[in-house]
Amino acid sequence: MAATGYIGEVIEASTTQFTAESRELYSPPPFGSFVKIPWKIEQAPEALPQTSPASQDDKDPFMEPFLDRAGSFSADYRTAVHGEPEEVCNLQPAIYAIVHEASTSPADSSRRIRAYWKDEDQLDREHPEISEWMLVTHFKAVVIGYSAGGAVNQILPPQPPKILSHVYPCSTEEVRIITKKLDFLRTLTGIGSMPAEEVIAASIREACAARNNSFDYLVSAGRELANLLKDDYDRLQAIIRRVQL
Amino acid sequence: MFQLNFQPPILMLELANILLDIDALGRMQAETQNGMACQLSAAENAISDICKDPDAARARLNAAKTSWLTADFTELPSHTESLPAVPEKFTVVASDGSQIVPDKNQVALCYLLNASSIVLPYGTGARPEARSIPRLCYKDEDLFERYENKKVPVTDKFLAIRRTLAESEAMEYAISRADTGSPVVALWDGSLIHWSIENEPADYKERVLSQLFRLFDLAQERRIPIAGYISDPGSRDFTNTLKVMLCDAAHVNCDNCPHQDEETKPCNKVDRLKDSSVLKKRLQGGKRSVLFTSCSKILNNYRQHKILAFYMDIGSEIVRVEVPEWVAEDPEMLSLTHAVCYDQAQKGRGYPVALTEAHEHAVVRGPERAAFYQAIEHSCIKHGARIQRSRKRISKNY
Repeated sequence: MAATGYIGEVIEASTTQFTAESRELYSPPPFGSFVKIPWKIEQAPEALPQTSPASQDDKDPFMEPFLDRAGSFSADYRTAVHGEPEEVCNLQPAIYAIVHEASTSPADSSRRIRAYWKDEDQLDREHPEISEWMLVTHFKAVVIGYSAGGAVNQILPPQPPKILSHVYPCSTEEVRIITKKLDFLRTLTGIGSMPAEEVIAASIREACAARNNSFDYLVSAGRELANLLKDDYDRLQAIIRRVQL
Repeated sequence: MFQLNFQPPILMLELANILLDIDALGRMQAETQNGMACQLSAAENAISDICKDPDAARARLNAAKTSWLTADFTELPSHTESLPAVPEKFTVVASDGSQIVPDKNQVALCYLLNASSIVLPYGTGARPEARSIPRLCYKDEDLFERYENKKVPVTDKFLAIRRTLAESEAMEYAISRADTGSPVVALWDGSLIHWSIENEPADYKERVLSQLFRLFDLAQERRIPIAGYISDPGSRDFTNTLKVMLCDAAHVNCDNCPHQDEETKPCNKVDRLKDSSVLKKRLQGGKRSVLFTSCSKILNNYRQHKILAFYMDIGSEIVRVEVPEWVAEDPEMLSLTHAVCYDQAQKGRGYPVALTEAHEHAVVRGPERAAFYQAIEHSCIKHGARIQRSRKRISKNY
């Protein structure tokens, strides 16, 4: 998959996950793969309401050092709350996510597709309208972190991605950088509305693959999981069995 | 005094009151259908008569003065053409339109025309194309029509014509997008005989037709057959021709009909038949009928684009396909039209795929209509225009 072209467009977004329409029918990014949405952080404060206090009395003197000139929380605030950035790198500002679901369905919910009883080649030849207009592939991804100001943070971004923003696959280099810390595993274990064990296992396989299947990384991921799931041995086993490379 | 405090439930439709009538209607339908065999046999006899002496039949038809439209036949009407194969590579183009009609109960007087263009290539390797262009009509020239040197409001009649013109323009675009390296067929939704403007003033009629003929001219220049596809056609022109044959008068003249009693009129022997039912049996297997001309008066204004029609079997029904004269006279284009109409109907399970897609890309659904009016309302509010809702609109909550 070329890293230069975008593979989807966001059609629904929240802080924790988003749904995107796949650019190509039947070609969503692989399950458990890492994707990114470029994010113009310099525009983010403009989107927020100006938080200048109404009167001198409302001013919180303790917050003063953390407010930047636009009225938003500054990098100092982030450091104070979340600690030092995990990774200082040259990544462009982006929101990172892991693909956890993909589906193909009628583009218009009122037009139900019926069986044609033809093979794939025949369908392509005789019914170009089906793949062109009648079907659409969607994929969902769970947000695991973002990069801003050259730093990667495995925490949820301040704002969700914008609707209709473009989704790109992450390069191997990006996967290596954003998975250096293993906090994303906690994010994945905490979201219940998906086959979490499968997603966790697939994302660890992806992260390992980006490191030439590094055994050390696999061990550290296993340790992190053992820590996270210390009260759920069965689930831990289920994930470890699925991680086998 | 004791009062009965009982109110019957309010029903919108008191179905119970017409149940007996509904039953009678069902019975009547069944009786009508039972009488069809007899009518069909009378029609077959009339067709045989025509075939025995087609010249005499045509002379009788041309001399007839009837109160209904008749269809002339180019060949013996008993003749049929077998289904030709579709080419390996070809393209079907289509267009359709829809509208949001002006609603005086809404915030502003305006309407919307939405026309779609579809290009569906088969076997050429090209990708299908679809486009729909909405047009908001709110200016003076949109809301009023120049008609008999007067400015008259655009009523439903004018709106329908404007929509047809938008569809025609969309079809021109579709034709311009189609790769003419392989055969192309343009499918038009419905009749190409725009008889509704027959009685309009000459200048208006000419204005409308000249815009429509832009499409016909373009298609003719590119050798792209245009075909008006009519599903479940109700036309009876050919049946009317058979009526002329069945009439026992020496010279057919409906104004001087010797038969006072409707029931005993010889022409009543086929009065329940549509052209499609008359021809159904002999068209089985994708065959098409011969070409019929129409004596619709509007065709006198159609220049070189006079419309002829044939009926064909698509498996699930008999359809009417209308083509301009230059298609009818070109065996290659005619046979291509026949093959493509059949193929499209098969691919679309009984209705051409290109027309279904054109409709899907043009149709304005309820929620879109609501969004349209909401956007207009927001625009008015944003610019400080006074919003006035009619009491009717408020009471109906729409």
